[in-house]
Amino acid sequence: MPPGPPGDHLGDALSAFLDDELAPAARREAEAHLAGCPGCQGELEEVAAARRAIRIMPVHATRRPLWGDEMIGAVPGVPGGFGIGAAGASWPHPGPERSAASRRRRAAWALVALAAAIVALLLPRDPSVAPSLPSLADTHAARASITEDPLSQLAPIAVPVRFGP
Amino acid sequence: MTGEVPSWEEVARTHGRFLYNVAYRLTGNDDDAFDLVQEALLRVRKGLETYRPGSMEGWLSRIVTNVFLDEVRRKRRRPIEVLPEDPERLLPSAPGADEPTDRLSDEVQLALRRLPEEFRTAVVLCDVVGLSYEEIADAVAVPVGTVRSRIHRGRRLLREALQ
Repeated sequence: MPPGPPGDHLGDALSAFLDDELAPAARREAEAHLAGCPGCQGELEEVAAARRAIRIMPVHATRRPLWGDEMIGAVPGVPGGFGIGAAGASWPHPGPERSAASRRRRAAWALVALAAAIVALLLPRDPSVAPSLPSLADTHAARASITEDPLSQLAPIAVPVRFGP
Repeated sequence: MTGEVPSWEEVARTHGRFLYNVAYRLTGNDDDAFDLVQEALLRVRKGLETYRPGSMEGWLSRIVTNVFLDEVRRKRRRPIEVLPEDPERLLPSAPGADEPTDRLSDEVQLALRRLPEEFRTAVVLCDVVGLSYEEIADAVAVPVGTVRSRIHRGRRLLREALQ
């Protein structure tokens, strides 16, 4: 695209010049014009500065899971868990909300596991599983002697001990 | 990638970061960029069968730009009350990866955000994505001359805002 009629300022051809979007002939015309036009030289510097400012901006990243396995796998009814298709109505989901829901689920399961552990500790033990503690104490006391049993050496007399009623 | 046409998963994993950056430069804030990427990925999946091996980022740029412009048109049809623009809203100050670290970059982003959408789109596609004028014209369905004019005017406005 030519820069414009002879004698005119270059205008938007300046950006095309910077972006190497001018045809060779138009580029030569633009260069010739620039050589003798301080106004276009100044404008070229201005747009070049703006162009450079944008181009040096770093890539903007986010920590949000845009397509993480958790989010992808949460799309129901999708083979392989990666599609959207028929489940598209449930998509998109904001990442933070999805993550918060997941955290709540994990916390709920942890509470359930903790409750189960507490219940297990409070339940009475089955005496048939192993010799009961009272019977072990009885046996130990009956067999104890000062010379043979290191534990009994600490007591003056081996006294049978019974736990519980 | 396997084969010439990648799977949706491959596209998302490989080009998600690129998509998000473009979306952020177009929208100017993280929440809108996130929504834009999500919608773009939806369209990517629906349109993956029509993808012809070539510039994947060019193809993705067209999709994310179309999503952005569709949203702009939708808001114009049904205008809603918007919060006044201010740097705190446009550039969240919450700590973390979203926190801008470069003051100059913040100012450029803010100036970019304040450009009219048509100018901003042309400038982003040219200077962030690196598309040619012809590719931009194809993406936004306007003549190449219009693209050239929008890029130049957008850059001039940006320069004025930064001075």
